Amino acid sequence: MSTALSKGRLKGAGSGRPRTPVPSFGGLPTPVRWVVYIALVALAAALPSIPGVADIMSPQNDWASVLVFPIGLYILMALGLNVVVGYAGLLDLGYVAFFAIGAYTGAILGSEYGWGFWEALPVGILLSMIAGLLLGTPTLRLRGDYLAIVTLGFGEIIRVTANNTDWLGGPRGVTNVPRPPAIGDLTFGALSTKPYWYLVLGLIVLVIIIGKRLERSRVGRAWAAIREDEDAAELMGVPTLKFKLASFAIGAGIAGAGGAVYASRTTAILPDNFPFVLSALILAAVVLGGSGNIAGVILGAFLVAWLPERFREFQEFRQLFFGAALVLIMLFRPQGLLPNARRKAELQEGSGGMGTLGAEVGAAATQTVEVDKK
Amino acid sequence: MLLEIDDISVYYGKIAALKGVTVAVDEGEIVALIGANGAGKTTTLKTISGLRSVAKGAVRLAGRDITNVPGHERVALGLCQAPEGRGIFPGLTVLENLHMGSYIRKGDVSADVERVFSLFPRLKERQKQAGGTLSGGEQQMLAIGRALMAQPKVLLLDEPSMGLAPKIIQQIFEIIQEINEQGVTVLLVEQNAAQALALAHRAYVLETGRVVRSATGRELLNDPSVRAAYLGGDISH
Amino acid sequence: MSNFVDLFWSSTIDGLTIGSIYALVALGYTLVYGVLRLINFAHSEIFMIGTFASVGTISLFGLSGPASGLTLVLVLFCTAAAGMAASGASAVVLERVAYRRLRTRGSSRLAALISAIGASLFLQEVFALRWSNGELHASGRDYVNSERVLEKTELFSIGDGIVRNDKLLVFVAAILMMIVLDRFVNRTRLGRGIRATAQDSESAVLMGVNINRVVVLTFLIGGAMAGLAGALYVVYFDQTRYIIGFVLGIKAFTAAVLGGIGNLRGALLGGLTIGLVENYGASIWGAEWKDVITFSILVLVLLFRPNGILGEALGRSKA
Repeated sequence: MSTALSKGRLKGAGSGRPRTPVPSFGGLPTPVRWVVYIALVALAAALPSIPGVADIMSPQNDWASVLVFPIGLYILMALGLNVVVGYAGLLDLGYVAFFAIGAYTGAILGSEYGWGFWEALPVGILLSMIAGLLLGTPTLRLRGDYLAIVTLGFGEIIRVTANNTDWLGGPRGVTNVPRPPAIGDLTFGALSTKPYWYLVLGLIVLVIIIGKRLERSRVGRAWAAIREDEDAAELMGVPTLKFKLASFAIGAGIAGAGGAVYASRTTAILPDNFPFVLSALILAAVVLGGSGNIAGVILGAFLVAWLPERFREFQEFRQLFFGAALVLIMLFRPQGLLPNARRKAELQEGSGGMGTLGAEVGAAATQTVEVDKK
Repeated sequence: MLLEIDDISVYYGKIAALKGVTVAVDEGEIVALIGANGAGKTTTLKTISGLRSVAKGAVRLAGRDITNVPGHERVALGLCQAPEGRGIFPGLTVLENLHMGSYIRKGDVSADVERVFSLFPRLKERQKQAGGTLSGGEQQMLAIGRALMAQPKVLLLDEPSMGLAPKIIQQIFEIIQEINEQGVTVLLVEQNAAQALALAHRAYVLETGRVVRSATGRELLNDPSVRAAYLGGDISH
Repeated sequence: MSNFVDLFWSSTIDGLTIGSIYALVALGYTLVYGVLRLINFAHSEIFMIGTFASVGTISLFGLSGPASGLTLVLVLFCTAAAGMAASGASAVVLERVAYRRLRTRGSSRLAALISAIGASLFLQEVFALRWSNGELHASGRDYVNSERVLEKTELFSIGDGIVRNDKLLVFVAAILMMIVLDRFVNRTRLGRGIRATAQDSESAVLMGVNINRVVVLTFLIGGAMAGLAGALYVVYFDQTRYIIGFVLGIKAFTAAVLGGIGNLRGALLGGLTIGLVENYGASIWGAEWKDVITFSILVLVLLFRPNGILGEALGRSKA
């Protein structure tokens, strides 16, 4: 175990080394890279407008709508969950709860209290983050796999509570959620969906920038240490609970933002919009693409969202397919399609989150005494 | 030779723990492996028991190549180990721990239990007690007794003196000698080099994954360089 | 609170009945966790497979109404045997397909849990597949009803609670099975091997225990218990559904944690406790809050007593 650790440290030591999957790109001078980034964002913004793309990508449905939901919002949520799973190595199975909190906050403030989208959005983000802190403060002390189940339970509590609470609309949900006000010529409407895509894209870009900055900061290094060996990190003086809470709150806030956008896009929400399966699909997106790597996570979320939309006949089988995909990825390519170099090394040596599985190899004998009472 | 370790190399990831170790144990012998922390003593023993896989080289028991035999099948072939840290099953009673030693055997084992109890009367007193509640010395007795229950041809002992009071160590080493006199071959790993060399017929000195010396126990005990490195300097000169 | 008093005995009887089903399912979580320290997330689907096998077996008899006498015994026996066989076999296949490779390569436990979630989603959807007009569709989302095997009759009453034959059957069968399992694990050589592996797997190998065989045995036993739970569930509720395992699985897991995961007797205690508490809670706050009550218990238990009521006896503690 200790040898595995030191190996991980050695790999991480060259922190100046590019972690992008294409090393030559990371080697480019900064201005050139920025030009590429801006070009990519411009291309993304133009996606619904380029002639011909819609026919290929979404022949049956309005392409801009599909870009907003599921594609854009899945990407946004996957990037948020990536902060929790990919960076800090915490398994959150109730991520949809924060999406729901953001959506319900936006919906209730908008339809019951007449708030505008832009006033409700920060409150939705804030409440989601607070919920993240409230759930995280007691539970993040738990072992990794227990945390997974508790978060799953939390997701169900939120959904069932929304379903049983009258002022949240009960099973009929909330209707008449206001759309964002027009910005210049951009009118947000049921058929005018491009502005929503610009909004979601803006949030995605913002989250990517925040994510990149965090990853390279002291916080990012603390997360890596927690992911690889929490006990060692704690012993070296990393306040692990604080950093875990931070990842939880940031991830929750991102989902909350997504939820508020979702509510204003559909203008009506139901408790059934927030099932466990959505958490599982977002997790599948993160893991499929390459946990910890932003480009990979975007690719994963795109595939999880787009494939069932594009191949309608396939949509009813999507859970079947993604369930099997999760197993196969874990068995044969646990690092995902576009892996993060460091995560890949961790997964290979079994230090990437929650320690190693496996009874025969390297299971340390514990000195702790638990007596089997007869 | 009863047990032959022929030029084995073992890796943890990319780091070599053993770099071509060769050790041989003849029937009826007590052979000791001594060396500092991290020299590869425990890895050698784990490799013999099949808990670590070999990158190069071979392990042979009574002439048969067992390099690729899974660990649990090696017990039936006559290898049983009392591991480092004793490896007692804390929630099983002393008697159940002993029965785990005879896990691979069929039929009545009560005679073997009696034999262990006669070697270690303390265990008999505590046979209903959970393994985890025993003292360190008692746990070591249990670990050795449990390994004997498998009726091994070669008994592998990893640091039987670890963490024990000098008086208990003395007692344990006397019992190891007694077991050997009853016809069990012993391969012993020890940091407590003085005691081990005094007991062993032959010994090997391991340093960073290699055998650097091998000779009879007495010879090594009187060797100035060994004394300097492992026996706390030459004080009796 | 008056509801709690008024409904006390009927809540108790219902709680013990459903609680014994939770307990049987909890055994599977506890056994696998004890040996591998893995939350077998797909165990809820193993239970679900047991319910479908039971419904199928009952339909094979083509009953034209509740059975009685020898026929009843035969049908019940076959249903239980089919549920146990189907679930036990599925659990073994699950281990082989979804976990074995990860285990032997020493993968991270995060990877194993994600694989388990994937297997769970996959199995749910497999049981939602239906043939219609020669085509395969994932359209089986509704309850599948089973013919009623047991005529539900009142045996006697305690206070406001009525003890019915089916509830008593569920309770007694579950308790009997758990006694058998407890004896097996504590008194036999194989059971000793399981406990030894759970406590120190490396030492167990040194004693000649074939870890792979122990792991398979663990999945088989845990699966068979979930299968029996599935059969009893069908006899009790006369129906099942592809998603039936999801919430029940979380409750059973909560039961396992509550009793002390890795501890077989803890699973029984935890299962009955969860069953009782959720029914008492439902009598106070209403049945729609049942699931919230259980999940809240899970969170509270993990916070204040993460080793459960009885402690983690079969397994090691924090590795």
